[in-house]
Amino acid sequence: MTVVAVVAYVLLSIGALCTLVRLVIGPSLADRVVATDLLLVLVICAVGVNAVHVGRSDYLDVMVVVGVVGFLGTVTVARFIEKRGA
Amino acid sequence: MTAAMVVRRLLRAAVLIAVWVALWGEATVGNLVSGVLVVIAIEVLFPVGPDVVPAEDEGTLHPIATLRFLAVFSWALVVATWQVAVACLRPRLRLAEAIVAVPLVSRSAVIATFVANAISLTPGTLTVEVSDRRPDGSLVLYVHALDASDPDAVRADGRRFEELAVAAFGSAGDRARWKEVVS
Amino acid sequence: MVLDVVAGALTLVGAALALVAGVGMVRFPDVFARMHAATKPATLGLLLIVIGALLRVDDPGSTVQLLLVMFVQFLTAPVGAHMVGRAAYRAGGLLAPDTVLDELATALADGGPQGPVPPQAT
Repeated sequence: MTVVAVVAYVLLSIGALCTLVRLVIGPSLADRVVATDLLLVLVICAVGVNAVHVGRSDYLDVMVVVGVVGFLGTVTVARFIEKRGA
Repeated sequence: MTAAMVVRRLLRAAVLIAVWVALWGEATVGNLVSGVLVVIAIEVLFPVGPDVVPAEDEGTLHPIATLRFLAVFSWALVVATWQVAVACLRPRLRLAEAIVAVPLVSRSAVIATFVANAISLTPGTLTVEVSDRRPDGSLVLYVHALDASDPDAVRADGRRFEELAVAAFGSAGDRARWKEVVS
Repeated sequence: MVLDVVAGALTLVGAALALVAGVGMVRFPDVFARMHAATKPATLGLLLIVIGALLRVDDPGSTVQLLLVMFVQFLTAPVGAHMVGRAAYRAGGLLAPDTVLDELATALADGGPQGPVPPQAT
């Protein structure tokens, strides 16, 4: 199980790195907010991998909170883009 | 308020309290009590009145049709992910993007929401915009497609989801309208 | 034991899908295509990892919380993508230059700032 967890973390990290690249390059605000949303989903996935690895449920609250807060952030920035442009 | 409306409100409140308790992880008395208080506050501050969901749009829930909707939807998500993965990992990107108009038959905003979400999670399509109501009350979804070789296929997918959604949670008016269209 | 193997396999596939989402973010040519990459594989990947966690974690409170996470992600991912897509379209200038067909542009041109007027034919 440790091997599985390590491989999963590595895969998630590479995905997160690619997303960070997009976050920096842009070119628009819309690209960046989509990248942020995906980054938060990857964080939730990482907490899930931890739950699979350890077999305990200590950090599940983090998943729920990050999911909801990530959504709120995405919607807020989307409304901002609508009013002020990307 | 009719009896049906009261039952709906209580069901909605029960679902919200269940979600609250689920967030806390254990069903203790404290969680239940705080859940009831929170839900009362929500119902007072954010009432779902007839301007949000008009009376004629209140749907009826058919459990088997709902399960079919969820099953088709889940399978579509798997196929969609596979297609996106293939498109991402191909050595040469070949995308022909398009925005396609998908007219809906039903007038209910709730059905439009379900169909829009289902379309977003299915192969190659993402709902981008919803139009204002047409003269006969129905709505049009604008869908961004990764592969524009067949816009009519996108419309056909939209109609399939709409048919499943109306069968699962449509109102009486929408079901009647669908029967007319199909026959 | 079998459950552990299944959970491990699901976690690996889920993480691989998350990687695919990241790769898609970098490779696709415009915002809308990137949103496809950010929502679909990521949602399915999270779903698989959550199912793996469900198999490994035992108490009912956690099970319900994990189901809630799945539910929340399913509901919010498409809505978030829709809102960003709508805003990005209206902000203008964000479609890839080789976009083949754009029925929304004609509709918006007819409808003006208050919203698109849908095509009259069904």
